[in-house]
Amino acid sequence: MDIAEVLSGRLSFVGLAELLQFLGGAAATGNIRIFAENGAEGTIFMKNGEVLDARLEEKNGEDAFHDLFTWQEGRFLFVPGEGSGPRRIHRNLTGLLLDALRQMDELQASQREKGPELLREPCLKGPAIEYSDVVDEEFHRDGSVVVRQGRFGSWLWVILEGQVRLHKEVGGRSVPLFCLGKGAYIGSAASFVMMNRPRSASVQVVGEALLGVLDAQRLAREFTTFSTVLQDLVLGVDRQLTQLGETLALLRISSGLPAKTPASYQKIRVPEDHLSATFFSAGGGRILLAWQKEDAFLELASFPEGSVFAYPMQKKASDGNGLIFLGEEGSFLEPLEKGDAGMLWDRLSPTFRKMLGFSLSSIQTTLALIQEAIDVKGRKNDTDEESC
Amino acid sequence: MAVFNIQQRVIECKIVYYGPGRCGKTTNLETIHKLFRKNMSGDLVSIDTEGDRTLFFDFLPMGLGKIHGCDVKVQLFTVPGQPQYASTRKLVLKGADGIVFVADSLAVRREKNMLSLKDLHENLKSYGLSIAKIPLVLQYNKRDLAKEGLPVMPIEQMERDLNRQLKVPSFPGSAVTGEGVGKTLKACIESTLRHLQQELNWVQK
Repeated sequence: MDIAEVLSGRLSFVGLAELLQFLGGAAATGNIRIFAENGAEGTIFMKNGEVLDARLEEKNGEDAFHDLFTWQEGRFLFVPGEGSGPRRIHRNLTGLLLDALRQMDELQASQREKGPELLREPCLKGPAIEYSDVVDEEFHRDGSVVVRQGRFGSWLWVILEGQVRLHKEVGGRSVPLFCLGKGAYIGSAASFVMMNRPRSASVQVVGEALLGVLDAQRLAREFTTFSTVLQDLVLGVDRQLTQLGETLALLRISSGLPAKTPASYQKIRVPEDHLSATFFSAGGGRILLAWQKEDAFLELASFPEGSVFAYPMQKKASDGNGLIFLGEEGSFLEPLEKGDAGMLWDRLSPTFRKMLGFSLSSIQTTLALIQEAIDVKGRKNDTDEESC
Repeated sequence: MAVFNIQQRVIECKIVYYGPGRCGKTTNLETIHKLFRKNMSGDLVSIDTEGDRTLFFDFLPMGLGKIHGCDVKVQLFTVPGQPQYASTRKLVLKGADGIVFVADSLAVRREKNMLSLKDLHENLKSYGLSIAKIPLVLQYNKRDLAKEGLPVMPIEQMERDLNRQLKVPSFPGSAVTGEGVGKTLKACIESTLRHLQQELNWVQK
């Protein structure tokens, strides 16, 4: 073959976009021949740095050009000289390149959406990230422990990229609870009251994660401006989450169900007209959040008199199983109205608002997992009894 | 990296309008194309991308003189703001000589602005460019929306969010009415050419 080869190379090193830009800048005239590993061959025709036409098997014009553009591997060869075919591509080079790249990006995006999920374990993502209180970024490798249960610390993070797994240490064992994803908060509001408070769970990185360090001092200062009720609320929700996490961990390691509630406790109805309230305080005595399983009530969390907690707003299952509140004699659920909470939601900084919102969804996730674990345990217990 | 066309004695440099989706990059360029028709050479190329359009055209700045006896031609680009257009964005950004970052003044877009600026920083870094060194100008767009009663961030807050470390020239603007559009572009071209001149002098010595 007698061809005047002036430029050749591999697409894996110089992509078609770079090659065309270079030839365009040089106002080159000639053919670019492209050879794929599988034997396919295509040609792009250029004159004075503009693309006139492309050919790939039976295709030509922009169709052929776009197909060629997706090739990542293969060899190219530039042969100078004028071609003789008709002009089928009329866009200028930059326009042509931008459009070809756009198509490639859109193709990749649609393929990604169809891709399989990497982690099947439930992963709780947080709200859209609020950057105003992020003062630093930390990169963590797979398996690194960000927070260890029982250690002291008051740092708070928000996950910018990647995932971490929550672990609870119970009875000398580390029990994985669930994963946290982008936007989730690590660390608890309780550290605003006591700057040194033991961590209530461990957090380990899965894969790689980029964490944003929150301005804990600013948040602690903001916390001191809250009304007492609002402070109690933030701390109460935090305590509730810790208790539920423990219940879930215990359920996962032991074969048994949570302890039954004392017989002296009675069912408390959620006041009908306050079904929309999210937060309650325990009035007149201790209140328990329990799971009703047929006739038995299993204790999930307990709230001393005067403490604030979130009402998880789960609908009651029809078979008599579901979440209920139980209380000592004379106790009642006191809904926390926005007014008496002094909770001027709008005045909270975005970070606080998102952290609180995230705590609520964590409570819901934990409760859903508790329910799942109880169902599994229940079934196992039933069959055990039968086999005895 | 500017391209020197020795035969025509033209230096071509590239200015890219960057910013989150729907912040008004495209409107900026459309307004420039309308206002400075006599400075245009070639057509406005428009590629439809999801969420907004990607535009490109050549611009001949008048009265800015020559660099080493060469005329200056500026290529103006916008990048598609949507995250999925990563390779398009990279091609456009590659070899950029100057950047206009268009930020959206709407309060709800605050986070999008910061994310996009971070994205710009990372993309530049992947070409060995530094956001702190490349000629960069900020535009706080959509100031006109305040008159319509929409929540718009105060300039001071946007400066704090976006320009605290960069400390680059910034301009309030409204791409729809044309306010600030010319000013932004002029500042960016001047800063780009100054930068280019410095690099050339350095090479000569």
